[in-house]
Amino acid sequence: MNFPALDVAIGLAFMYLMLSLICTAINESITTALQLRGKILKESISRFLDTPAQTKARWFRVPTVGANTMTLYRHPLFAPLSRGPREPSYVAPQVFSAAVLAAFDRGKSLPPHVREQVDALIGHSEIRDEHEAIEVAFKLVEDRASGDFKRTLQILTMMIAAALVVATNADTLHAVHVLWRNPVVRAAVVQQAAERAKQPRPEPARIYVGYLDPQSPDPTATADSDDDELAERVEDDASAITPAESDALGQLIGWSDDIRAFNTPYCQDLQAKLNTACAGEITPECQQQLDALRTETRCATVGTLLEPTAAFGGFDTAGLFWTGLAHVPGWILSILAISLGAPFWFDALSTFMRVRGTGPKPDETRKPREVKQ
Amino acid sequence: MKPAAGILCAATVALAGHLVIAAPVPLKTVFLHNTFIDKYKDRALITDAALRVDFVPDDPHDIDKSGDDGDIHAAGRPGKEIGLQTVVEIVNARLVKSAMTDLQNHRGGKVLPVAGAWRLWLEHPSAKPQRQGATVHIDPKKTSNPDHVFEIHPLTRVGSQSILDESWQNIKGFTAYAADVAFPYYESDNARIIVNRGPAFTSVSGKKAKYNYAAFEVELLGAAHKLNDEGFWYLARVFGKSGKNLVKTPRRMIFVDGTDVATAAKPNAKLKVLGIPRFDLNRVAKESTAKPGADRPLVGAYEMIIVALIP
Repeated sequence: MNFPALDVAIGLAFMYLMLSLICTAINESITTALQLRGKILKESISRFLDTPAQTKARWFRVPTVGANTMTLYRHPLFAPLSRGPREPSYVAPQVFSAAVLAAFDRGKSLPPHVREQVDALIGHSEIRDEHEAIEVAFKLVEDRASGDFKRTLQILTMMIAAALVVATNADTLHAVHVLWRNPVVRAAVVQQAAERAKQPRPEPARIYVGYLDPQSPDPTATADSDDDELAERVEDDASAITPAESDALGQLIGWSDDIRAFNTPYCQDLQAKLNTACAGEITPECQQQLDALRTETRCATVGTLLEPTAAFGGFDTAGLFWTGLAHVPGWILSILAISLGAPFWFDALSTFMRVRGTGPKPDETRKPREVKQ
Repeated sequence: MKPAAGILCAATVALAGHLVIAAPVPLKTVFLHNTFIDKYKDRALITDAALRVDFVPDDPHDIDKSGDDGDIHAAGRPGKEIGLQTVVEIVNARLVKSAMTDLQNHRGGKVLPVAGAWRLWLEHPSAKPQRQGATVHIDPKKTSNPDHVFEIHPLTRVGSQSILDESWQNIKGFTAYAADVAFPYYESDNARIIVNRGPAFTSVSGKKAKYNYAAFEVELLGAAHKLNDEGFWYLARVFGKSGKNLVKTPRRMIFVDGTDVATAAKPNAKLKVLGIPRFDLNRVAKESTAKPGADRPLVGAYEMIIVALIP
């Protein structure tokens, strides 16, 4: 089946997928570098152990926590979960429970509001003792932390997507125009999209804090191994963008066309001056014009014509403003699309390719990436 | 930091933006005035060209093979009749030093009257189509071999000096392309042109062409046909070292009056010659007028300018 409209959809899905992969990689790098999971977990633990007044969340800086949280983090049962300055982003509930009880004199000196919560849990359910109660309470801590992290991730994703879209001029409307009007580019992009659809599905962003997966808690997981492993997987996804894929992507995004448009009147003016100066004999003025062209980067010589290049040679503020404004609707669409994530666009691409008749069959098994042990 | 390296790699190559796929070879196009085609299809030479000579090198080419053919090139801007970036060439330039000097003395845009064999061939086409009759501007690259599809090659006259006798001779020491190499190409689809006659212009499109000078044996068939100027033509078969006929149908061989090879040209003669290909405008005119407005692919739409006898 071969419909240009379908190929345009494939092209867009491919563009969004590629940019989502890059976005995810940047996102993960930032969250890892800033140890966001660890900070959010600490803040969430503090809301459990400390009073509200003692807990202050600062988005990218170390949260302010109370003495109770500090006591826990310094306790010999909890402290080893950190590696140097990197505090844990994943903690097994059993470990948390044991550490809390140990840190607060086997539960005898638990903060009053914690004691209240623990007693309530023991009293009203099948929870037998303080250990189990604190484990259950920790799940609430993790849920809250995961929620906070997810919100933070969404904001970060939007910010990164916005920066990426503007930096690369990933204008959806322009991409549609290029794909619709240029069958050569369309064919190249579809070809790369078909290859990409055969690759493993990209990993979704991990939004859980505290657990890798709440259904399968791993008490041996440490902050470093999980974060590094995740970062490595995401990096693999991003760095697996092939040169051919990036070439195809480059046909849909970028500032080249706008820069050429900026350079066009400049080159036309230069051409007119050259033709006037060199209309007859080669005068010194003509020679000067010809010599100046040797170092000219904004215009390339094509036969006797001067054609604008994509070399940036300074900008006119008003022109830049209007050019940027013209791209805003397309950018907004791209940002919203990218924020849906790489797995979403991979699935969409796979569906389009199946409809087109060149994608993998639905019953073909593509094994998910195995978790490194 | 591994994640950063991966991101940098991915982001940088994503911004590269070059299309690297196997694309069909683009055709090069020239738009010729119908009046020009009709005038020169039955002429050997262009005799009233006034060239504004822009760039001429100090020395002619070396003599060896391929591009080292002993010619001197001059790039210039012709009058409106030619209306295309033009390169003129003196064959055996070292044997006509005064003509070469005259050419060099007109560097810098001075106008020099010249005459010689007109030659349209897609050997050095520009990326963009050329249209005959548009004002020809100076080539910013300041080269004696700019992008061009029109040549006056070989020249017969430079200024007031005729160079026919000394110039139109075999190039001693030069190895031209063998007939067994050149003619299969000329006769092939790779050298095919597509013509389309409009009300004022005829477009001629084709791939970039090759094989300038060819050494081959001709068997002249039938009688000589007079051209509208100082020349005549024969239909001929072409043979290479293999002895095999290399042309699908006999091709036009253009002879210029006053050259040694023209003197030797007789019906049924077999001659070893040095020749240069150009579009057969006669065939272009005939085929394009048969169906105006339609693309007409032509294979073997060339004729050979016979420059000299090869001993």
